[in-house]
Amino acid sequence: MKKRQLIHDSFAVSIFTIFSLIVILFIIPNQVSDSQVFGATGNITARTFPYLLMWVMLICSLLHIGNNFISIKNLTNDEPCIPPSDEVKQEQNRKALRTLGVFLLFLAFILLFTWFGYAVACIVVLPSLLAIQKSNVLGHYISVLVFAAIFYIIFYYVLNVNVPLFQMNF
Amino acid sequence: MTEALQILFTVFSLESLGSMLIGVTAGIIIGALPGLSIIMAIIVLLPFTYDMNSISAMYLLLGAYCGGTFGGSISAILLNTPGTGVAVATTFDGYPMAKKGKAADALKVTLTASTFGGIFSAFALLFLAPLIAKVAFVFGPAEYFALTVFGLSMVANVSNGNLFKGLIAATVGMLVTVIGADPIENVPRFVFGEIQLFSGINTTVCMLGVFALSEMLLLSQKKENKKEAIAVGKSTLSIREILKHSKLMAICSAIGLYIGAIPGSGGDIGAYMCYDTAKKLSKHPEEFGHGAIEGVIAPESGNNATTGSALIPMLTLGIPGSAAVGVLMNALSVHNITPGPDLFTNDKFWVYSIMFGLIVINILMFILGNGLTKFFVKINKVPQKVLVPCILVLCMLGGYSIKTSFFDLNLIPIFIVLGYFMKKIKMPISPMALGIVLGKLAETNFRRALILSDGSMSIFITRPISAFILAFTVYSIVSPHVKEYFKNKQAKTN
Repeated sequence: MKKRQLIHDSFAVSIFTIFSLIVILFIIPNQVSDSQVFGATGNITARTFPYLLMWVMLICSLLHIGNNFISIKNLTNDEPCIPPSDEVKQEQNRKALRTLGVFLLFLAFILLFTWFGYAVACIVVLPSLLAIQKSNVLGHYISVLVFAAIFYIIFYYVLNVNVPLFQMNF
Repeated sequence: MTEALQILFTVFSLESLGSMLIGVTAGIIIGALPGLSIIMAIIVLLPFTYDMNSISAMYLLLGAYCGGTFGGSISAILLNTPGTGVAVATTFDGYPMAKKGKAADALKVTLTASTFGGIFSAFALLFLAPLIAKVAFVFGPAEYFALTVFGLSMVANVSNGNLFKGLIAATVGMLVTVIGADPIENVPRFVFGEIQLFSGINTTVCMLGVFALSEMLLLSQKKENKKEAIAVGKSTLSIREILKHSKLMAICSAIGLYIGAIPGSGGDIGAYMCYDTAKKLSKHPEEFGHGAIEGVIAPESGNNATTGSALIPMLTLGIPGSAAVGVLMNALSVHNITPGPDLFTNDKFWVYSIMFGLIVINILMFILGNGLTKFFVKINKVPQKVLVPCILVLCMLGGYSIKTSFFDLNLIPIFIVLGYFMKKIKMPISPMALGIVLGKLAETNFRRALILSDGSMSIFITRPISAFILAFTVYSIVSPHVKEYFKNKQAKTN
């Protein structure tokens, strides 16, 4: 079981290894100019710090993966990996779908806010968020919309932020 | 004398008191809700400060910081579920006390001890900070760079035992700060042809995504907490009776003060240490864990004492003492205030107003906590399902109000995914907050120091203060490992 977890963890952290390599090899040379206005700084340019950060990320991710492999090798009595029951699997899938749904609703809020304004975004997304979380209490729906209205008033009238209530902006 | 009066007028102005009250109330509410952290309280309130003057803005956020630290203990006592990480130790005796029918007493003790600890540390801040600032006044870029390295070394302390993952998180945070024009040569970096990225990514947007909204994704996965809160009756303890334990409160406040001033050691460590000390000092240690009043007093005075002392490195050196203070520091940059020793000469009025304000915030917290306990207790009944849309609304309005532009909002999903991924792979995210706050400071001072030294790295070790700070950094990183090595070696030989 622990072996499986360590392998998963190594794969997850390897994303940072790949990311740092891509940044070092492709993104920094193309996206950061190497000009030296201050010649006095020697080899220190606008690229130095990003390179330093990416090297730290690369080294740390490799060390972490290496550490995990040493731990895997040293594992003697690893518990056997019992595949999760169908019920557990279904629950996990449901959770994952709900999370994806909530994230998509976050995205929808941003898009609707940008295109049609705050009111439309709130009216569409906030009740949907409650529905996706299986809320069947009417009070929840009303209180969330009232909350959104109160904070619109605070931002618009008290904090003087020009929040567009309705708009058509494609 | 006139300056002192001016400060008093500022602290007791309607705007200041209003900001403090709103901040403390919001902090207690958010702190009392399990799943929402003190950092989230500060981040969610940050957009409300854009239109305020910097003093009122800080009062609002400091109110949330102190209120959140206390608020976490309400659910710790009534539900046995700490609202925030710093309230974990309060559950040990707070919940057993509540189960014995003394919930109101436990809440009153918590409030009194929290206020005691908070005021104790606010006074310490007032007297110690100017002394440290005097020393720091001779600092140049080399010393500041050394300090940022020291600040970053605390990544080790906030990485939950996973140093490499913590360092990766810190570099991710620093990477966010290098996007946009570089601070010395004004060369564009990582802008991908997007003109709006030239001024960089607003760090608040990043924090809203990583700390607040990604947490909402996780919250939507959790099952609703169906624990029934213990009913709160009437307290039978008077403040005078609670203050009979003032010696213990003072000891624990002093411990909390010391712990809070060490970068990376937050209120949770302070609370544990105080609980342990109280148990050792107690005449009835066997009562601990079964509803001992000292078991509530100790962690509460300890964790609230860290609030003021964590501000000492921030105000005097520009180094945040914890991730929450890092977010506070980020708020200062929104108001064009650069923390550091210069504050104590150029902005004396501002810095003393903040320090006096912290005392008043703690007093207000006591008054509010006493008067509105029943209301705060009801907060625990707010269902998680309702929290997700409410936090979304606050974050979206906050993200939009930074520059009243939709561009910032469009960046938020990237940070939500990043925060969610990091949390899923158990990568600590507090180091990322430190990276965000210290990244630009580290690069700017590193390069300025090298300009001064004609590109020679020796400047960092030839200047005595810089060399001392760097040596101390190395010592603080290495010494725990060396101690552990020798401990293990001794254990093996025994």
